[in-house]
Amino acid sequence: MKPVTGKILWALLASLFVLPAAYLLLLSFSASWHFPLLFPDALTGKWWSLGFTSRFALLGSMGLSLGIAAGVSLLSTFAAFFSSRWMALSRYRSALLLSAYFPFVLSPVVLAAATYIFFVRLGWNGTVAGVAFAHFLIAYPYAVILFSGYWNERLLTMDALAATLGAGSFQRYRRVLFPLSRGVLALALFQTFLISWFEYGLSSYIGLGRVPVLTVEVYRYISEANPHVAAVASLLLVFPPLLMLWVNKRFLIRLI
Amino acid sequence: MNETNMLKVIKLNKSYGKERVLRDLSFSLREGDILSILGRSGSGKTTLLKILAGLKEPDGGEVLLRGQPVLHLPPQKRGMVYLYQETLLFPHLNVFENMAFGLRVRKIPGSEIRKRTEQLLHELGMAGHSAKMPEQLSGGQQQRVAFGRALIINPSLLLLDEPFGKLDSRTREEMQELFLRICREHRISVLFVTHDLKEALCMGDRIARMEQGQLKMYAKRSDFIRDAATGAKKEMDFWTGIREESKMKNNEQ
Repeated sequence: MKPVTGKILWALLASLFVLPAAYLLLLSFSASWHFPLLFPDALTGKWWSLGFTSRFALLGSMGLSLGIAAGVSLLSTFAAFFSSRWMALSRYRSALLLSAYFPFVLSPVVLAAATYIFFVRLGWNGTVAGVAFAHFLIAYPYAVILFSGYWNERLLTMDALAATLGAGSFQRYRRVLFPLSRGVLALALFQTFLISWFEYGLSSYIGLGRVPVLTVEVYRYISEANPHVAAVASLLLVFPPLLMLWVNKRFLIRLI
Repeated sequence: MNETNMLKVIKLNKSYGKERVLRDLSFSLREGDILSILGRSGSGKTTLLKILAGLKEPDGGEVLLRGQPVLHLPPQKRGMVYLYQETLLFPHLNVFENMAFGLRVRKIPGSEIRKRTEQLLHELGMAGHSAKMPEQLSGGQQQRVAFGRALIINPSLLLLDEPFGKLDSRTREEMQELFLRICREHRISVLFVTHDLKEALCMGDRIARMEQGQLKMYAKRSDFIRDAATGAKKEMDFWTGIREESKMKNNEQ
């Protein structure tokens, strides 16, 4: 590919990401924007300040979403890291890996509908714990699938060697496996965070609208025909993943 | 039990499905001895070493280390270090930290770690390389660090699974000499597995041959050479033939 063509393609791709965000930014600051004007005729900061009032409480929603996504991401990544190692050594490896695809074959919402009765029985429907657990049900198998190819012969042999050198299970994770796996752990943390962060169907279905995570709030403002606050909420939805991507770019770009 | 026995293996059995890899395998090893085990690929040599190291479970049998049963112990409690054909240096640690790994996990004080590691680095001719990362070392240097990493914890037994297999012939000879010298100096008991006839003869105080899941021990080196199944006689005849042929050619010229 010629360098000029490459640059044009790159600019087109970048604009695909940048233009929607730029549109939302403009919408969140527009006082009035009438068709067919290309840009708003007046700008205001009131939607941002309104978004953080008690009526909209977007900051609270953002905090809640962050808390759930961070918790789900940490729990599912580390649970999957340990269990995928166990799976790699298991004689039932293929069957176990196949079962990890199950939630995705079903689709997350069908999975939620199928397991909803258990959430009701446990009293978890309409609770933060219930929504977080529902997210975990799809983030964990995803992370297991991600790690399944990671436990190769070399890494397992290195682990075994460390054991014969006197390292117990904790020491092996601390001194060998975690340091060697920083990249893939960062990738799994990031991906599972995104799964939970952008999850709408499960949050809405299990949360019954009583758990105001950011995705549920965005849809609510859109359905209420409140595009300006919806734009503010959407930007808040986009910001943390972008920040994470920037912070972890060293690991992620190398791995993706 | 013989008091000088470091290791005693009694009727060890292991199968993979229908294939019996070890059949009532028994042998013993005296303290400070190096036992070379010669065997073809798939003869069960690696399985034997892995069972001894605690990385595989046998179907039956017993293993005594200094008279104590060890099969119930996890690998980290056995004091047997398994060295693979690949050096498997930890890529995130430099030479010093690779070597000191076994001391760090035992929570030895820092000053002691420094002293012992530097001493061994010097002994292995690696003193100037302590800050280097594994990928900056040659194959032979990596092998030295791998040995150092095993030796530093004074293992009861070293289990070597064709450790020089990936080295070129010259480096291989250097490493064999270094390895023998260090093992003699530290009086380390070693099980040395190889499929290389010459290496088996050079390295072992005693030699054994593994075939069909059993170990045949040879009391003397000459017994090993005489046994047609080892291939040693054939190999020697081959080289003698070559030598005589070249002698004849020289005489004709």
